[in-house]
Amino acid sequence: MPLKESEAFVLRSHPIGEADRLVTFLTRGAGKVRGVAKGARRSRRRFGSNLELLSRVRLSYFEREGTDLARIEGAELLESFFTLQEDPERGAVLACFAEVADAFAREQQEDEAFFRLLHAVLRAVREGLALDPAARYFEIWTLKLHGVLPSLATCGRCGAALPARGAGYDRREGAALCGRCGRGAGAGDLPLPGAALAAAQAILSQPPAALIQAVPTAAGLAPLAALAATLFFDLTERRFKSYDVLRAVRGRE
Amino acid sequence: MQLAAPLERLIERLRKLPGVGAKSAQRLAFHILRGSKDEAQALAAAILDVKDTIRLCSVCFNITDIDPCLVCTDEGRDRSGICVIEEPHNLLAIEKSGQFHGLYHVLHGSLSPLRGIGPDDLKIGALLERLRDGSVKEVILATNPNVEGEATATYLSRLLKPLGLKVTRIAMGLPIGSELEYADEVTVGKALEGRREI
Repeated sequence: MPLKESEAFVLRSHPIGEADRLVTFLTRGAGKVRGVAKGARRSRRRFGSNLELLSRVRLSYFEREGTDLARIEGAELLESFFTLQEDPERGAVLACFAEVADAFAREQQEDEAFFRLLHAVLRAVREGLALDPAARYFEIWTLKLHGVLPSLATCGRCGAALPARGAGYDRREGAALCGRCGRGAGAGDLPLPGAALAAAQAILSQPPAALIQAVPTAAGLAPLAALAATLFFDLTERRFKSYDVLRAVRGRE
Repeated sequence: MQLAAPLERLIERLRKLPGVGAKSAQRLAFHILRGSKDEAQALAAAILDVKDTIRLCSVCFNITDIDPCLVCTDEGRDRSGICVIEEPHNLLAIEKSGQFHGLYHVLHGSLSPLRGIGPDDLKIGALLERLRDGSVKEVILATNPNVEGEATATYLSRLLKPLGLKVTRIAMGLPIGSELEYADEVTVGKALEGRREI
């Protein structure tokens, strides 16, 4: 088996055995890669802080026959987001990114756009993008890139442009519907006020760093958070733990 | 080859221990089998004894067989300082250094969003309760120097500083005996950030 190399983000890392770490990466060229970093807990010289959450590294690894786990040979640090995560709230938001990325990335399936999305959002946070717009940007684009974001510009039934005053997300149809087509408030349906549709358009039409200056309103971002949470749950059938911890950290601080 | 059922059962149990694989479990099982019955009984009794008698200290949450633990009841210790650690075994590492003579508080974890561990899952409320009487002047945050440990230390410092306490963080940086050229940029950055005048 040849040595493989790819740029990668660390999505998860936890101890196994006496001295090793099981690490999940989102690579630029090969989707999700999971592997064992031998001796990573005992010797700091080989991996140092390179396997901390969301480190961007040049990963080298061997795939092994008969197992899904790669053997991690090296992880040279290219960019660290360690200090960003010292703040508990920001750390929890970044953990949400990692957990969502882990759920959506597929093993051995190249997903360079998703890799670039994560990189762009992390850099924008470092440059000063507030946490709520950063989280909504990452969520909306994650759904879009994986083909599961309903159109937030046209009605999912009649195809007409959604009215500026707002629309509603119909959970059974999995679509945003205009006032004429919408059945009203069904179980799990979500209101999408005009501010939310405008925030979605701002997110979908520009890079994340642009939102540092032109921050969408809280009234626009909140319904998008609810929409993303609903879609994540419907797609993965689980709740992401990081979001619960984020709420707890925000509640206590 | 099929082993005798009791031996298979022992191997299976030993395999469940951390860091013990199939081969090691087999070696341990045969070692126990070859030893005397007294040794086997002593091992079994020690395991049961730990389960029956070890509990958490009601003050600092260290593991102990008497409550409060020996550290909390030691009159010779400096009661004006509390060192906050993640796990009971961290206490041994700090005690070995011989540099700290105060009290401890074990959080039993660190903030870890990916594992669903939030502030309410840690022994933070009990720490705040301990600080109420005003006898503690300094809290040393000795959580691990990783993402979770740093976030936990920041979280605690924000809770503790308004109480008028001196809140300190253990230094981070280059390990003794290492070489600068092999250190990664985060470690070197932290070492520079925590530099001191000599």
